[in-house]
Amino acid sequence: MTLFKEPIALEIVKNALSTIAEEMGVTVVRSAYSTAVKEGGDATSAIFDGQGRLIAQSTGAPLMHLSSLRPSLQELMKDFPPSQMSDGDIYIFNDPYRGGIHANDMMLFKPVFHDGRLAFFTTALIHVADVGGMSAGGLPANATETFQEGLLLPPVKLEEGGRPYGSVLAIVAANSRTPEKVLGDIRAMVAAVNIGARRLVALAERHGLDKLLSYTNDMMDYCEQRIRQEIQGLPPGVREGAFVIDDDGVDEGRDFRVQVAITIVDSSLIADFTGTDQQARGPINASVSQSMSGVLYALRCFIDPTIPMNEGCYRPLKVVLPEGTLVNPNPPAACNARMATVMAIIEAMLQAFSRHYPEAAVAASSNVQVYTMNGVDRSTGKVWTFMDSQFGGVGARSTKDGLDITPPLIFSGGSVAHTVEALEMEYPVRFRSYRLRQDSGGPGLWRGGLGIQRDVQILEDGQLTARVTDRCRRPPPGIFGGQPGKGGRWVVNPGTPQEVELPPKVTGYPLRAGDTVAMLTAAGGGFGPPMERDPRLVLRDVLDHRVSIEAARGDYGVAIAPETMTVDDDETRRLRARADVDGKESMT
Amino acid sequence: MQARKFFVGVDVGGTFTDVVMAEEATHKLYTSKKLTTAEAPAEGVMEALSDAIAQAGCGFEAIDRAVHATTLATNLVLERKGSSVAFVTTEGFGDLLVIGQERRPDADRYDLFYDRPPPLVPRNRTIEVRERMSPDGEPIVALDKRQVEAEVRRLLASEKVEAFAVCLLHSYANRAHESQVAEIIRRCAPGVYVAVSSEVWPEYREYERATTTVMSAYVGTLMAGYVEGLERRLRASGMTGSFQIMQSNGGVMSSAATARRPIYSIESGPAAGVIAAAHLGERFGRRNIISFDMGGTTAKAGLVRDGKPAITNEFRVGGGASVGGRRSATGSPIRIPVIDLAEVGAGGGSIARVDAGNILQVGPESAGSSPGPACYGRGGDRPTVTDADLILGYLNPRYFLGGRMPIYAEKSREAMERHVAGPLAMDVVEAAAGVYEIVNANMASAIHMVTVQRGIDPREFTLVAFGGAGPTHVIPVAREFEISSVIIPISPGLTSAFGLVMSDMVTDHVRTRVMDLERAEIDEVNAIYQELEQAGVSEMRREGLSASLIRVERQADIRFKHQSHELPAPVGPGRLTPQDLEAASAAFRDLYHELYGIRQDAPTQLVNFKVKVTGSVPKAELATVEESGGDPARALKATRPVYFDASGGFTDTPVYERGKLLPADTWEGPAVIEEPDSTIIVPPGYRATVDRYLSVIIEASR
Repeated sequence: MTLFKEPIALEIVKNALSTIAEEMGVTVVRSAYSTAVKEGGDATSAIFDGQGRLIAQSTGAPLMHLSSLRPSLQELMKDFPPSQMSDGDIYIFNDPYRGGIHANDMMLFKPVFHDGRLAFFTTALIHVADVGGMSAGGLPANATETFQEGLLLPPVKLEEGGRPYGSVLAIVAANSRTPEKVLGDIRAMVAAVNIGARRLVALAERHGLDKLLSYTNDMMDYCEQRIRQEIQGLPPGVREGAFVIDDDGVDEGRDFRVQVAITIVDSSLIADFTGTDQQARGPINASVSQSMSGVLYALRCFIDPTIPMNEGCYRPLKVVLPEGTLVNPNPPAACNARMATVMAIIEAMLQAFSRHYPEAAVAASSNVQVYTMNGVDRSTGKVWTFMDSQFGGVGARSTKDGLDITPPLIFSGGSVAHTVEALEMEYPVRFRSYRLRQDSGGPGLWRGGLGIQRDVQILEDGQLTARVTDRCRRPPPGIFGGQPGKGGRWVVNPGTPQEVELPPKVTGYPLRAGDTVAMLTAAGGGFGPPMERDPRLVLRDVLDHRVSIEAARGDYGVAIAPETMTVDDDETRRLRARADVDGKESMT
Repeated sequence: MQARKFFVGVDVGGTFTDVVMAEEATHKLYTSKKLTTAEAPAEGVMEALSDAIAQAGCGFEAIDRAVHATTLATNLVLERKGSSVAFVTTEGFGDLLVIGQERRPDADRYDLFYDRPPPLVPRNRTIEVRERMSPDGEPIVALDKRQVEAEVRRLLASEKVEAFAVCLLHSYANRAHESQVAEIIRRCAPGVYVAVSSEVWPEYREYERATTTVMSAYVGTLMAGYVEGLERRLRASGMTGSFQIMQSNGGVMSSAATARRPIYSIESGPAAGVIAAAHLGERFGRRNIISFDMGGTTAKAGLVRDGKPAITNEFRVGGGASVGGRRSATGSPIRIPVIDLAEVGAGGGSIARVDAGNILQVGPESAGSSPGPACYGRGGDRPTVTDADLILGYLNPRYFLGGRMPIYAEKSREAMERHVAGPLAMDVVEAAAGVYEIVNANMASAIHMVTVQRGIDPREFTLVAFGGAGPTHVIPVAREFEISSVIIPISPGLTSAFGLVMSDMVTDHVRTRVMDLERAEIDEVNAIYQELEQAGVSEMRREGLSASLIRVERQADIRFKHQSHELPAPVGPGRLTPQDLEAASAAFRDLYHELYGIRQDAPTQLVNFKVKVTGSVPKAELATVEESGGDPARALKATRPVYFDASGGFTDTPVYERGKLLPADTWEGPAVIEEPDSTIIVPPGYRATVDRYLSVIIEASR
């Protein structure tokens, strides 16, 4: 392990830089307009050096944004060589085939100069409000080309000399159903990159730029060494894993498979996705940067998570993403529903790791479920639209139950529950219920975490665009004998004669004033045989409304007397003995 | 001769119970510091109080006003020892408390085995009631009273319930249903504590309002019992003066008011430190203050602008030492106003270590008071900030607690050598200097949080430093922000307790009503403010204050339409006109610009209406010393080698006894100023001055 020349200054500068990245992140979240950002914290900011190497990023950032700003900056520098950049410039773009994610994820880049020298870039990325495309608010579940997902911007100049440049904002506004929101979002990012730039200049002044850059180089080496150390601690060899996605929103009923082989050689890790299915017609494809985010997330679950993220972290990794597949599609494949593939990447990698570490095994979790509702305000004629994303349960673990309604895996730390009162104040909707989805958790020795049911009534005519990102027809599987959790669903007017079950992904479904849409999110898979679960835990689940008395009997073989709410031990023994016999008979 | 009169501050902290007694006529202070008796805090309080009273040579009847800050409410939540609460909410939302904490802390994002703490109320003590309000306060579904009563009775029959928390959707807009539910509960369960969200803090956002209400119920009975019990003992000892409790908003309220709204006493100890800094600043003629409080495990920074401490509504109970607390997902949110403090895990006990990548890190892990720093010789073998301070000559091994505590300096060096200097191939002094520098930088981030990140330039502020370790570390921290003036009040180890007896009575009131500014109903706005003011003023009148002592401040939380974060703007007094609202909106735009550096011309919305009512009460005064010195030579007691970066190493440095300094003493650093509970370090290039309150002021030499 290297000894750095100035380990004390290094720690101080490292903290100063992450404080700057953090301040940028706070600025975007607090001044943004888009619901996803303001309520969900869906924002990232990062600092790069003049060569475009990652130095620091905000800690609250959504993990799926992790790897996008980095390749995008390289693409920006191809179109605008640093020699052509000047102080006061800001650039914007969102092209998924040049490092981006999908149309709504806009990125801003500001070159930062010190004494006339390009020293840093400050950058921000948020999920902005509507930028056109076939569905209001973005995210069309049945898109087959990226052109349908919203306005695409190649790297273009947004500001010059600190003033708006050209017509970019006008073009963005003209393509948006809610122009004032999207412009507000972009202004929030401008504020963030400007604040970051001011702070970096002050830091450079204090330490001297050359000195500061020598520290940032050391920081990259530091992270590289730390990651290598950790990889060396993993068992060497090759391990495989796979995960199957249940549909792409276009070719209904078709499976898509993500396949990975992880090889550990010395201090390097190779993740090879050869064998993964060809790209889909629907929008579940993940651009390269998104696949990288998935790989990095899964790896970090098995190494010291406190290692800060910078360029050095990427050096020990080799990721093989075959072209034309789900994990590296060719244009113009649509990719707004890429979280299906990103989560499949992670689950496949966890599966591979758990082959060597059964004690660290985790059953499959839910994926994100999103809908947008939109309509036209009768009094003003303006379009209203809001997006609401929810999660379900997390898979059961080898030593404990899964978490109920929690952003799983790469989503964790992200989105928060949108407050019902705030949404009802702003939009013509009324929430009828927001509850844990009883009996949804995959039964097992350890039970999968529960999904939710969220019933929202629309008070004016409007439209629904909704999708369950995967895990619907094929619900989150259990492991080691655990049962799958319940899959995600959409039901219109549940429990009435007009009840309609919608497909997992719908775009522009018409709603009448008074219709209620029930969103049921998927639940985590179980771990181990449910008949071996401690009856006292089953009773506790019944008392907490997580499991019904019927399911306690049917899924777990535990009889609970409803009058006393206690376990009937004799009946339970009988039920479990019979299940044992049935199990053996069905095996023969 | 008139009877002697005293103001008494009693601050119960995690480690120590501090008492400050200020005599009204003479401004003389009597103090006591005793170990906190965690199991029965009143014992420690009585012990420290009796000690101070004995020193003052008076009796309990001489106490005119006693103010108490306690960590009891916070501890009940942290240790999960509160009441058994039942939660009542709108049908369809019974899982609100479970679902609301959906987000997990950033630090645990990669932990596949993460578990969140269970909610304070389990699902089987939750009642869903049939009713519904609209956001405008229109009843959409009438309250089904029969169903409520049946459910309450069913629950009381099957579960042990010690308190109820009621939070129904949109009750901030119309409290009728909540009041009816509370009435039914009181009828079914007479004497049981009931917290109602529209009374506790009627602001929109159901999850935060619910947790605030649940927390109220959770600590309510026990807090009320503790306050009543302590008051009984004080009365039995002969105290006839008023007994008040410190609140998180920086004001005090009577013990009776605290029993009604116990949640306000949460986090009140740290708030007292900021109040002290604000009031001391006032005496020193400074209205823009940063308070800097460094103790054994954490350092806290607070902001006072134009004499007013900054307030936040985003506090999370049990969130631990965190940076800003804003985006952290730990703990339970409470929406009531809390003095805005940034806290970092950096204190005298913070442990220094070299990580696997050979970088030196300090904290947040702390050696606490047991085993404590290596130099305590109580079995701690890992180097701490205190050990570094000792190695660098900042602390005097023969003068801990005024010399009453034995210190083993060689253990500091051993620990620093083994755990830091050795692995980094540097010498022990260099390593200790690194620890000092890093912990100072970590603490600077707390100040960064409450100033720079809020768009505030710290250079215009005076730093008031206190806490046991504050005066030893403050100058490098101040230098980081180019803060030119640092003040260290007398007895910096007791500053928070002193803040208690400098506080006024304060009560806060809120109402959410969202309206577009351009379509605002001015009559409705006036009616809301009038109602809120009446509530606050009548509370003060009940405390026995006359109208001339009561001051009302109004605020409106304003946001840009379609945004969800509001900012508070001041609103003028009296009957408002649409122009007054325009002015508030303009103030909001300025504030927004200050915070985010952008000006927006988007339309604005009024969201929350807020009123703060302050009742002025007699306060302790700082003693002034008329005698004047000039040359501090009379206080010089020794010379010792002390490490200074600027001098490139150790320099023989004069050491002064603080108790012998006099006003107008002025001299150049380097210097060390010692007193029993703290040590001030004046580096070379700085000048120390003593003012007539015997505060030490440190400024850069010209």
